[in-house]
Amino acid sequence: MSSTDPWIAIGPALGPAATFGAIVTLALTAGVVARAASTRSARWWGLLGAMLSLLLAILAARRRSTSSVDALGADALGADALGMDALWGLDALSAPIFPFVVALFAVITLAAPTRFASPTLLARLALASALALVVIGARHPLLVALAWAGSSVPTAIELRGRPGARAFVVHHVVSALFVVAGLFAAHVASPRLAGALLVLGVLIREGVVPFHAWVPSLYERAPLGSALLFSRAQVGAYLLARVLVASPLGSSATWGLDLLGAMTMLYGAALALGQPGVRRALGYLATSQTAIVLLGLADGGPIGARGAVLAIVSVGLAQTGLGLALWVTEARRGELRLDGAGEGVAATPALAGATLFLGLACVGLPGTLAFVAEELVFHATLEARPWIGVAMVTATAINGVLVLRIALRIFAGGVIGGAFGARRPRGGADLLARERVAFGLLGASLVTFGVAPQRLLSVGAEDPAEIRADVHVSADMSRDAHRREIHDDR
Amino acid sequence: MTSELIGVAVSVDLAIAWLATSMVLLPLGAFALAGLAEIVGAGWRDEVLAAVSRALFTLTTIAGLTAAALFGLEGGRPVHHVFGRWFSADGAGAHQAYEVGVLVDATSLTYLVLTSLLAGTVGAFSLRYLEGEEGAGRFFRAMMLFTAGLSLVVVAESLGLLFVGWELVGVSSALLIAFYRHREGPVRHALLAFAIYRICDAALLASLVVLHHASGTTSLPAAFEAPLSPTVAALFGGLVLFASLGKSAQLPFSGWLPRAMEGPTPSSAIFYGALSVHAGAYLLLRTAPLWEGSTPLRVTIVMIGALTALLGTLTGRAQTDVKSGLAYAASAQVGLIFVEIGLGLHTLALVHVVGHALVRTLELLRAPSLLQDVQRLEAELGRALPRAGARYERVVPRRIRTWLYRFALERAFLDTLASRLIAALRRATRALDAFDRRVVGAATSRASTPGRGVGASAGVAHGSTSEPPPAATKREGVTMKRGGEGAEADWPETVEGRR
Repeated sequence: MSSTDPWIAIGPALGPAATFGAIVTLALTAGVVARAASTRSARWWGLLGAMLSLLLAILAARRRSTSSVDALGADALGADALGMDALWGLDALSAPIFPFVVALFAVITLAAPTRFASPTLLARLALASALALVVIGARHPLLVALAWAGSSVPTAIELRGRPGARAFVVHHVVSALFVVAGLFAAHVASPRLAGALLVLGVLIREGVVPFHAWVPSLYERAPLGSALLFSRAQVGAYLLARVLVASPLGSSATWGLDLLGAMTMLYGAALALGQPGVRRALGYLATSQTAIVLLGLADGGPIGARGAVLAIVSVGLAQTGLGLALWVTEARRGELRLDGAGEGVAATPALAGATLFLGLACVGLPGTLAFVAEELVFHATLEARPWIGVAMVTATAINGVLVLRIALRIFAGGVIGGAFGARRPRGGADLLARERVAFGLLGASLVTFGVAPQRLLSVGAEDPAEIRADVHVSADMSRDAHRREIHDDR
Repeated sequence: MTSELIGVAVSVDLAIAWLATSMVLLPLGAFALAGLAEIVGAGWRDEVLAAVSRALFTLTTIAGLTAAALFGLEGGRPVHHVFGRWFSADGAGAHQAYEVGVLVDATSLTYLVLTSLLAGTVGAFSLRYLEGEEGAGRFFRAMMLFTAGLSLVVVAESLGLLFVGWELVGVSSALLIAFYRHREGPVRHALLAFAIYRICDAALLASLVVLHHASGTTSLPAAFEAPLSPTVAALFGGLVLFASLGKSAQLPFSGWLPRAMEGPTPSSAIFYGALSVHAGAYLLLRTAPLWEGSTPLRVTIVMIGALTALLGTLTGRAQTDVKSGLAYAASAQVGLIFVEIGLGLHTLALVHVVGHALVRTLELLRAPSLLQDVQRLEAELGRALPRAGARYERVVPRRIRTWLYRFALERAFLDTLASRLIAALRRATRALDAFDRRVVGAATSRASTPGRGVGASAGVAHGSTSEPPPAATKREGVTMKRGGEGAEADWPETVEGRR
């Protein structure tokens, strides 16, 4: 940062304070929204809180730590200081993802259909976002572990008493146990065991095959907004990136992760294409797309890592947009199915267009951000491991067909037997003003960063080799500084 | 003096590069503006869009002809110009950059001028043909996107940039096949065409990485300088060939072409008669220096082309509607172009492309007036029109002729084979789905009924929000189709759609 930077005068504590402020703002928003008298007021309070939190999150990302990526694990558990700097802050890895999670909450709050978006639901979404932010913004492993365990609670409450709830709870309790044990093991046992436990916990949270059973179930049973926020924030992928950047896997573990990633991509894509119900198809699509991040991170190379971080953001935004468009359509028409002809494109052209565009954007339409992300991951993967690359391109091809199928099967083809069988077009009202704003913002972000992605790429993950060096150097430096402080005190 | 001459040559090169680039940017910009106007609710009237299209394609044609004239004056020297970098990522010795540039040579200029000339002609025809029709604006927008995509394919200096255009062509093609979107047939056929495109696009993406792996670059001029080893050439060429087969409707992917004719006639003419169908041939011509050292690959190209030409001719003769007949004829001609490319007759292939595109466009644009044309011709002749190739039919023994007719009527049984393949895939997917649901069932004490869709669950989900569930939980169309034949009427059965 240059000396002319206006932020420099405010002081180095601004970054951690802004990080903490963004989290607290969302937590307070949850409280305010829960007490709102109507969905309308809950939505506007939610948006106000989201905007404030987003501003703070962007500020926090700008004032990220000067070291590339901070260590998360052994040293921090033993730290004596518990000040703001020691507990909160962003680094190169978390800087792009922290504001992204707030943006997801904002856009879901803005577009959520009024008939489904009760104040309680919006409050739970705010709380889930705040907990996800803690996982990303906290520097102390204990905080990360607690937030990790707690972040699935609001979604579990949404599922309470429904089929699929138990699968969700079982998976996430196990995931939380693994992650907590992993972070503890990083302090007392070998880093290898810690890494294995953390990766296992993350794989469950990410819904990687064979731990994927809860994902389609969640999409099918929970309010779509909850499912989208929980799975598309990709907190698990973020934690995995942090774990792998700090301690890269050995070749056999990389091979295993590759295998799981390729299997997840293909399995998710194949099952998504065969689904008659749109929600379940969306769930499998999410599973399949998650694996892109996994494969990008697996080899620990710089190109793949950057592609992975970009994929978290781009695929997350696009798929959330697609899911919201479908949720909005569901609110107008009831259940949506893919095994019959659709209708309503004439009545709802903007909604149909948004569904198609956001769908294509999430499978890498050229000119959108996901194209850049997938391109980087493809190159990194195909160069190093061609057979994984073949699985990736195949799955992406299938996913492309799926999104076109979703758009066409829901909105088009309703007249069977030509013009003589024509019915009056149906489909409900087209996009409302707030929905237009939400989808417009999503589309504009995806295209703007897709056409000019370099700025986002330079904010993203840095060279893992340098990062790892920085981690060790910063850890050594902090130890030295600590010793010096003790010496000075004496 | 010499430096002045070099300076002039450089500026002429730059002018050619910019003129070629304008042929991509102009339609892309017009598409973006028209799309943006539509999004903000201030969509252009059809007449405005038509006028913009007319001006646009006039400009691009002038740009193309000017570039061709300058190219000729410069002695036909290929122009390679890189404008800059789209994005890049590097670190730890690895580097990945996506550069934006053009490679203009005789082949690309021919395609470029042909693209804007035919797009302009078809655009002008469409002004009348689609006047007052619902969706005319949509047609012009899709055509702008298509033209931009195809022009990008033609001028791209790297395989990576070419892939971007290739994808845009695929998306716009699918949208135009589904132009009459209120009908089920076009939607099915668009899905089928898009599925084939995507499968073949995956091969193009893989070829791109093979090239990068072998040459360290995807820039075509740079890759041309270092010949690939025979094995890599065969692998790279095989992937490029596979990508070409889908767009150019060659075996085994020829079945989608007649179904794509569900779109409006002008789009059929420009996509499947003139331009899109030749994109595969262009891809092969463009990358030929990289794979032509592989004899087995060239033999494969010749065989696929010849077989497609034979089956296309045979099948086309048994069609009962003019557009299907023309589609098979186009497929057969492109097959012959593939044969020429495989034999190394690149100039002949290029001439064949131009001639075929012009003739086929005329035929397709005249197709709606076929009956009138036939009547006029017969009136002029004073007798019925003779059947083309009837004398050859008589040479074939009667029994074989009957079998061949059945073979042609069944479209070489390719649809049956494809249907069986798709049915097998569907069964596999369903089995996998059933297995997956059982896994969920094992993990939950109160599992949902297997095979049950979103309905009940959606209702439950809505309940959580303390809001009433949606009023309509079953749509008319869905109720009608569920459980009966409609349950089977999912997208993969599209191959059975147009009988």
